[in-house]
Amino acid sequence: MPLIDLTGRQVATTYRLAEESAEPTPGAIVSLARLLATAEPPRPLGVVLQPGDRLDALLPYLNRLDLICVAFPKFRDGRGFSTARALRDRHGFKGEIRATGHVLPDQAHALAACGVTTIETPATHPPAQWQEFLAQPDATPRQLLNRMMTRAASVQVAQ
Amino acid sequence: MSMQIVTGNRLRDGQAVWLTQTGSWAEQVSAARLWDEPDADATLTALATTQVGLDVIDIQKAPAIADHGVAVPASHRERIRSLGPSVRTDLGKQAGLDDGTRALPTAAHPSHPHAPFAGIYQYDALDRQFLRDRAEQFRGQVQRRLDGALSEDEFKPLRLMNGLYLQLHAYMLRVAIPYGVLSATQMRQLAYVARVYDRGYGHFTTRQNIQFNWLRLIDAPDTLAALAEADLHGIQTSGNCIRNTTTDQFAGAAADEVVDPRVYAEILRQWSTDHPEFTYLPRKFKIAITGSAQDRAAIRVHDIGIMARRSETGEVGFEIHAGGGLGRTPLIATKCRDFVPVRELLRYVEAILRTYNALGRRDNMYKARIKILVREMKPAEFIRMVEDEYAALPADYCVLEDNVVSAIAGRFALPPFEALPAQSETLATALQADATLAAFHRSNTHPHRVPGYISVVISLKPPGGIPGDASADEMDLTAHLADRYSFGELRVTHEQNLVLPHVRQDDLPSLHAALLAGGLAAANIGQLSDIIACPGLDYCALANARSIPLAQELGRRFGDPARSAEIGAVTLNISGCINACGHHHVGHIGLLGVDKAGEEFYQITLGGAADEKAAIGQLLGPAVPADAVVDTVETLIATYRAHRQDGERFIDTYRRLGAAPFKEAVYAAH
Repeated sequence: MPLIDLTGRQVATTYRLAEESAEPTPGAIVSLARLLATAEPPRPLGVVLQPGDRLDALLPYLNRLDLICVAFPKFRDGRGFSTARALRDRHGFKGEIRATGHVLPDQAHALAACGVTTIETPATHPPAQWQEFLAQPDATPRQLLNRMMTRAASVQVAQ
Repeated sequence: MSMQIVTGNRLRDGQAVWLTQTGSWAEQVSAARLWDEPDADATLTALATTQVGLDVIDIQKAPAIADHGVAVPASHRERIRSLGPSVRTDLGKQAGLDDGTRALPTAAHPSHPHAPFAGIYQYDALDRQFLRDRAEQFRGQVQRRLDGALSEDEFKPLRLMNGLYLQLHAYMLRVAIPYGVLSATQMRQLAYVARVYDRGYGHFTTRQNIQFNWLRLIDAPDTLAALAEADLHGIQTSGNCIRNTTTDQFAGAAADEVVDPRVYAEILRQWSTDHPEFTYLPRKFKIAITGSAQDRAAIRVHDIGIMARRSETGEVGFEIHAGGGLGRTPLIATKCRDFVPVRELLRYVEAILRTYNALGRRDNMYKARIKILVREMKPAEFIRMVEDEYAALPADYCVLEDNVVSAIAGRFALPPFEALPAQSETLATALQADATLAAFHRSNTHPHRVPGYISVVISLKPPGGIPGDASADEMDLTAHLADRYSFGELRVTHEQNLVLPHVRQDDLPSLHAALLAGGLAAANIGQLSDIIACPGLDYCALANARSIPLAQELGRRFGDPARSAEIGAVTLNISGCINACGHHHVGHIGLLGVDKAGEEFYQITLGGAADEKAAIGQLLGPAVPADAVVDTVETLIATYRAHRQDGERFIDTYRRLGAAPFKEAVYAAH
């Protein structure tokens, strides 16, 4: 499904989802379980984090990963926001964070603020919808608190 | 044999409609087709897979009987849906009101400056632009929903984030009144919205907000645009996000405060507005803060409760509680920290939220609140996780420096209070001469920190009235009185009343006279007839039983001023279902509506309290039928009066004696 960045522009990707049973090859996206079972992970490599996956298990691999897909099985399940934020902020992950699954254009600004860099658009919300939404004035509160605090939650995480 | 009808609400205006013989949707239940249950189920399944969801939502079946071939609803709920609120027979289908006839404004929405000293947070141009952009964003979302680009499942959380619910008769819009503070201008804008987009009234809630009951989806963007012109909005008044932070209604005026909690409630509001990480939480999240050790904000029954305090060295900080709440699992919060310094407040709260967002249950909405997480993890382990998360936050993240606090505090204008003697001679003389005024002064005022001033509570619980309801005319009157007597400022209390926070004691007699003339002078604050009640089954899609008719009847029975004063302080709270919006668990007397085979019954709890001695009320015994409730309360009060010792309130007598004498009195005769 088409991949976009957070300006809505379509971007190319060479990563592909690997078979769960296969030994990962360069450019593969694997599950966390598969990653943990792989003795010598190749590069580049991506991993998919499902809500509920334990981040601690991933930490030893962070600097050997190039892409982390944060899965949203339902757009209402907001665990992915905290996952992305923890990866960027607490654990300093510098690679690509990709939101996958059921995400809405209406969530674009929040995803960006939590450190997500690309979005795998779902079939029901193709890139055109995201572009249309992102073309509107972004209704992001720029209140005094956010303007004054050195680092506020709604300010985009430095990358 | 039990028959069924198939019903839903029309997407564009929320009106209840029923499926007819021809497959169309009718506005009257009498046109509904009657089905056998299996056929009704098959129809529901078929409808779920067609495009009809675009026009009608929330489709379900309801029991009905055939009266000469015409469908008649068999359940209480469906009967009310087909007619309108039982407590407002002038509204809804029973009154022949058709939404299609509404004349909407063609001119621009009114926009007036706020009184310069009203104690609201003063918006700047960026704040105003945000609200306008947000209303436009919602206009786009409504359009995408009507076009089919958004499914109902996707649209629902987006409309909830803007305060728009679907209820029994129409959409309901909940407008945020941050920490319950309103300017007179804002109150007039609420009156405008009530007249133009609703049915001429609003309902003040236990979260210090206001609800309009008759919104159409197609008008909601215009309504939000009108509200934005007065710095008002519906953002985060609903949905699984951080809700409106509540506080003490006397904030900034009370004599016993460590800090003015409005400043910190506003900081929490700004921090939580559109918080990118916490907008899709497992469930709703409510924060309350009190600036004084006298807890008037019920902080121990909130997801997070914050109490301002001073350390031994005099530094201001906060005691933090988490995991309290009412609903189907009422729990008193766990204390997480005795003292969090001001600069760390947002960081600590953020650590609690992050722990909850990651670990709160999402498989069962009834177990998704933070209180269940705290209980299941055990408090010690929960606190350990929060502390771990807190310790790992980047050092420069969300630090509340002094200059930030001062800047926010600076947006709250300080009223230019006059230098007055502590006691007003004028008032003292008037109190001697006028017993009605004296009773009002005893029950409806609160001490002010500034000499010569007083805070005045306007009761929205006249005997026989609907708790918390105010007509547009009443809103305009209170706005006028706020301008005249209280620096253009009003407050909404979580007990569903209004407050004029800064009234000169000298002015109380003339203010009281104006309230009397406007029918708003009920002198019953804190007394039995000052009832907290949710909208119940007259309006609410979740309710099992009605709340308002009971409140009205109790108000009539106990509303006589002399009798009410003689009974003294007692809180009576009514909820129409287990979700507990009427806070029945923390009423000295709590009534919870339940449905028993289609009949309304009420469970009675005693001993609840929401203050610094917070307690969950205990069930007295079997539920009583609707028509026996008022007499049962009469029995409870008679029992209290028979046993009370000098100066004891109802709750004191209950705490001393326990439930036994009350139980005996209520159930012995049965």
